[in-house]
Amino acid sequence: MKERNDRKRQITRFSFYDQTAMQRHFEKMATEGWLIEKISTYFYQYRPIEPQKLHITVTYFPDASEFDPRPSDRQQMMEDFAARDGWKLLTSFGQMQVFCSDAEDPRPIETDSVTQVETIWRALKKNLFPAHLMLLALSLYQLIFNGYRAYQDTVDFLSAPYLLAAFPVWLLILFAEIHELIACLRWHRKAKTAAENGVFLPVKTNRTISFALILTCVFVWLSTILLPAGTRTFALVWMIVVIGVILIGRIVKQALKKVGASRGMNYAATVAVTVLLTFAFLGGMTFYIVRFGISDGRTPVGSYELNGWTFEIYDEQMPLYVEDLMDIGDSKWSREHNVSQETFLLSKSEYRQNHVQGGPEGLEDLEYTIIDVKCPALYEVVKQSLLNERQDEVSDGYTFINHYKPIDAAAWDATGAYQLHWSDSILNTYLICWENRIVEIKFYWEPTPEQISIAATKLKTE
Amino acid sequence: MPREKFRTLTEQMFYVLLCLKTECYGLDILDRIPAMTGGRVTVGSGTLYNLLEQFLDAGMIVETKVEGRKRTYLLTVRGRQMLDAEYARIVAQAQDYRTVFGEEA
Repeated sequence: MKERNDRKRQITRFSFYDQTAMQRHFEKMATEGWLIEKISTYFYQYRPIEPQKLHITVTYFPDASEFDPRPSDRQQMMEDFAARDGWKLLTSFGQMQVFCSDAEDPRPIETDSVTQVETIWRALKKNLFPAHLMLLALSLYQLIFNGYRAYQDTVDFLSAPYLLAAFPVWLLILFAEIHELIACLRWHRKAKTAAENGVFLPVKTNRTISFALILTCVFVWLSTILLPAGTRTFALVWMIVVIGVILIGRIVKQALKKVGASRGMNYAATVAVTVLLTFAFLGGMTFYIVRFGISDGRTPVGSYELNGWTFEIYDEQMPLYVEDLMDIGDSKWSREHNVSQETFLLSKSEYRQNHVQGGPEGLEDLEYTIIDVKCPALYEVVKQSLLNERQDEVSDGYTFINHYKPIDAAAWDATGAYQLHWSDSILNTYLICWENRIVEIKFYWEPTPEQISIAATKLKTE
Repeated sequence: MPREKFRTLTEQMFYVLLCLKTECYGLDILDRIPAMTGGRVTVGSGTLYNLLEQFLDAGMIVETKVEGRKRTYLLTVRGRQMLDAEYARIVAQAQDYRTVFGEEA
């Protein structure tokens, strides 16, 4: 005999409304000596019993809510009806009740398939549809938001793993939600017709969609591990915050149920606590980031003061240094590899070399971004996106110049080269296109043809 | 095509309404129907509860007494009209049967 306090838990494996599959499963568990005693969103919990053949029925009470402190009079009335036929309530969860009977041939709780379909349909409309519609709206919003972001900053979108990963995830959620809603509508149409012939058509659990969503979550979690150190910490903290807020929301809901708060009060308080905590955590994180920044795992080698601000000095590897182009004497520099992000489509690295102090006259800074396009089909899209980032602005009939103009690519040994026209000046900012690489480089001085040649050789290959 | 809600009644809907010609406790209907039909028709407890709720929503019955979880119900004029319509449909079916099979019926 198993220990009295011995309990068994299983991950919820059936759709909330798949009563036929649940009944079959709970009956099988009873023959193995486990009686269902608690159902939650994620788990079934069983208590040990003598293995026996029991009849188990899952029913729905459409007006019930998981925020109810106790079953309503009407719900208890339904339980009284069931008790009259020898059915004992084992557990309830939101709209769902699970009854059992040890009689050999008890009168079924549901005897009219038309009424049964109508009851499940009412329960679906009250509970599942609003949840699906909200998630559908959220996924649509995220897709539009991410799509706009991809259009506005194609390079950043395609080279940032967390941004690129979010798109298929939301797309999958959108399809899953549409699939669920269509499946519900189709079930209702077919079940109504079948019920006319006295046949009950159960709601089916769709495991493919569930598995796809679980796999996607695992994929997203794994992709965060591949992020740079600082962003990874941020992502993990964010995930912990989300899980924490959900858990605290649940604790509040359960506590209010225990003290007998009404459904409305419990719902309002749980939502309020969840929203307030989310904003509090967001505010706290924003404050922390503004105050202390996100550590990106880079180690400065020193610092200097300028106009009351403290700047850190780095000595990081760069494909092209100012000293490759001119004599810098014994001057002091900060060499920074600021951004490095990569996906299977694109990689992007930003470099900057700042003059700190000392050395001969005329020393100027240098900064550039190297973009490697791994998917040839995206090359023109990326190039056009970079060119389009600079747009002339027309206001009150006056045109403010801000665009790239083609220049001789031969000087750069490139397939395409552009120089930035800004206001009434031609800046020393160039967009250079090689076979799979595009570089945007800004010289803080006017480079000589020799310097351009050296820069081209270094940036093209390194 | 499935039928419009309550345009026609299932056998169990019919007998639940029939029981409520006189005031009756919901729970008692569970026994009245088998007694009325000689055990030919039985209604499950969940089905009975849900039917009472749906009939109440549709104005086909009313609650006449509420004592906590114990409630009594009574058929309304609208409920009676639904029963009459169903009865007429059943009679028409029986008539059609007789027309086809004549004295064999």
